[in-house]
Amino acid sequence: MVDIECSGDEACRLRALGFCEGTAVNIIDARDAMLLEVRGTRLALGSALTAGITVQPVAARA
Amino acid sequence: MTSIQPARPTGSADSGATEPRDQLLRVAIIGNPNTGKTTLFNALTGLRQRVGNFAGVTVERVEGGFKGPDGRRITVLDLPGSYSLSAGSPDEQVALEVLLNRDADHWKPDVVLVVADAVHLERNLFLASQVIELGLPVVIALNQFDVAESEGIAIDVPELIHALGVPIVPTVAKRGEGLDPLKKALITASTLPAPQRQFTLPAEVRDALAPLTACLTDAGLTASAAGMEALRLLGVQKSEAHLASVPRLQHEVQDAIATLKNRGYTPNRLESELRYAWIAEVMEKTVTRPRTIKQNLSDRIDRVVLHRVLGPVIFLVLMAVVFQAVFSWAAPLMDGIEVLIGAMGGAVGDRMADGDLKSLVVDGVFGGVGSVLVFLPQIAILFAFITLLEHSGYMARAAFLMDRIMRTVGLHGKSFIPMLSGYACAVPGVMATRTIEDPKDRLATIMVVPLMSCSARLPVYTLLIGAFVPTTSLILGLTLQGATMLGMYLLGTVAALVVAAIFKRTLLKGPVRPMILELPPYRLPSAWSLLVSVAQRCQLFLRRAGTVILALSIVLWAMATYPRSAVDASLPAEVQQEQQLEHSALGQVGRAIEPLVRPLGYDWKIGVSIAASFAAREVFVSTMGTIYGVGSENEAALTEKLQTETNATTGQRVYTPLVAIGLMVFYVFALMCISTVAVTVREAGGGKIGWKWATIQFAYMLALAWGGAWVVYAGGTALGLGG
Repeated sequence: MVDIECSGDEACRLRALGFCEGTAVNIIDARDAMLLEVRGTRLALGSALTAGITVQPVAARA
Repeated sequence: MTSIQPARPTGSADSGATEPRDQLLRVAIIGNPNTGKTTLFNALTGLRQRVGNFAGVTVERVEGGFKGPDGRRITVLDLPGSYSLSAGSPDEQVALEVLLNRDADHWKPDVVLVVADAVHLERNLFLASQVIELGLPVVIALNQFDVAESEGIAIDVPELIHALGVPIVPTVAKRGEGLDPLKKALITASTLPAPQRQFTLPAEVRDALAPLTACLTDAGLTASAAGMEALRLLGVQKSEAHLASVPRLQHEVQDAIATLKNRGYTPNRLESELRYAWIAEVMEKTVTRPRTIKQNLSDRIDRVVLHRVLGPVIFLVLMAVVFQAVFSWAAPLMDGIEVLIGAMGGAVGDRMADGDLKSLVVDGVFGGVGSVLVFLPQIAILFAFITLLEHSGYMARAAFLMDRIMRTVGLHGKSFIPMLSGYACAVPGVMATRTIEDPKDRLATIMVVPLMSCSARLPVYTLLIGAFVPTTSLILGLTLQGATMLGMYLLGTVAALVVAAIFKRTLLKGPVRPMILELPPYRLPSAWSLLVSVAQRCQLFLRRAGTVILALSIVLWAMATYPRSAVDASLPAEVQQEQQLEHSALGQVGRAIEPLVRPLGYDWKIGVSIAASFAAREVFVSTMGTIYGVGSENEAALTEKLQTETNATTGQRVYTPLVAIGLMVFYVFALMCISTVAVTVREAGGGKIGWKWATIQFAYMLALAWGGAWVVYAGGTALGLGG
């Protein structure tokens, strides 16, 4: 589960990628930039963005 | 969208069609990045591509052609890769304009080919669903079908066709599979009615959007496209160029947003929610993915490649390979070309009578052509590597690794490779900036690439360091000479980063866009596509830069040859040449600019050499040789001359180590390469805007050069270091 706060253009692109509030994401690596997977797409997000993203853990799928 | 034409009388019996077989079919190709769209485009069009720019913007425009199975001519326009039609960048804006037929060129597509990645179908369907609603015939190429199969992803294509309402052709572009059915589908699609949105909006949403949709249809959009735009605009914060002329648009958008909010929706993510909800249903019916989420090969490779320590190491090793390749593998090829051109020039010259025409042909034309062709090996090698890295998927990882460092100066992670290549040659480096999406980042990179000390500066450094810097040993095998050389390289690099930072804060100020980078799965690139891409770049270089370089070489030859003066034929050949150069137009230019270079400690002879080397730096050494009467090939004699040359009036030595260092600093900074200017003009957008930025680049570098040389000379003299 996700909550995003970012400016227009980036939000637009993230939504086109299927990345918006309520989407399930799979975090691969969280360092200063975040590596995650959403709807089968592997994304690297810069630190300016990741600061504005909140994720809640979801029970692992069986 | 085919126009009806009167049936042409034909000699054969099958004249049932109202379409003349030789009417041009226009196909626009669009798709997500990393779907193999370029590979498919290359497979369809081969080398029959024309590269330019979209009107008024720096977005590259590639159009190619091929013949359909029925002999029909088909032209294909490659639109920039986009995740959605919502313009996040000028690239996507251009794509949208072309598809809505609101672009500056009015290139109206007859069919839209959407290239979708079978492995990431869910995400690709977002764009596809938008394109389907445009009111144009659509064909979907389901590419990388082989990869999907190998990962155990099963796609029920007939069911998918039914769900989307458009023809779908599975393809494996890198192997050329599926191309024939695709071509047939494109031709057939042009005769079918346009597809429609395949899901229905909730009634509330439809009502809320009605006024907005009406406003758009009034402005000339088809009903279908208006519906798509209305939904899309809910999530777009800014006004877009192609809709700027629509009256009351912002007002209607705000109204729709307010209405939807009142009804409990979140307008800015409504499009995403509705489309993905529908996409999920479609995926459910048509795609079966394997149950186990096994770590595939890409993941395993990434564990190493993106490792905190190993990652950068691997990256540096790869960069070293690329650099070395451009630097040294190209060298024998470049020498080969020079020898070949020289031999050809000589052979032609031998058949001509001595005189100016012979000199023009041999030195001016062949010399000029040679100086153009000599760049090809470096360009080809660099682009082969870049294309290989891009198509294999590694480039995204590289950009990711370099991103943090590059951002400290306001540049992009992808700026690294162009700048690295600048150490070998700025020409391919500037051309390589096309991989940077943000136009401001791209321009900033183009502006500073020439500051990286390219290999053409090496002869200048070698000559001057060899003559004036002592060989004292420092540490670990490093001599003062080596340290000076390294210092010059460092100076250029530091200057590049600083200037880039300045540009990004002033002329090219733009929001620091946070990085959203897709890391595509690794794959083996197609050799054919690689070849086509490299050939295309070389072709482009030859046509654009080549003509400029050749023209200027001839001009320079003329300036160095005319006006002719009477020389004493009894003097040795080198002295004759020296006098000839002195009295020529170029020599006079040298004398004329002498006052400008005297504060830097130079006399008119260096002035002439500097003037001549504005075309190409290597010319400095040969011109100096000529001016000092030792001939243009004799470097040892030149070195000796430089060390002993004394000023006739003051009796002091003309060249001191200080002067030499100042001169080298001048060469570190100055832009002295018409080839670089030529490619900068093109990559900065061509035409007026290209020349504007090339001029800015030349001017600031010249200012830096003069300023730097002056600081060294004047400062050094003041500190008593002269002599």
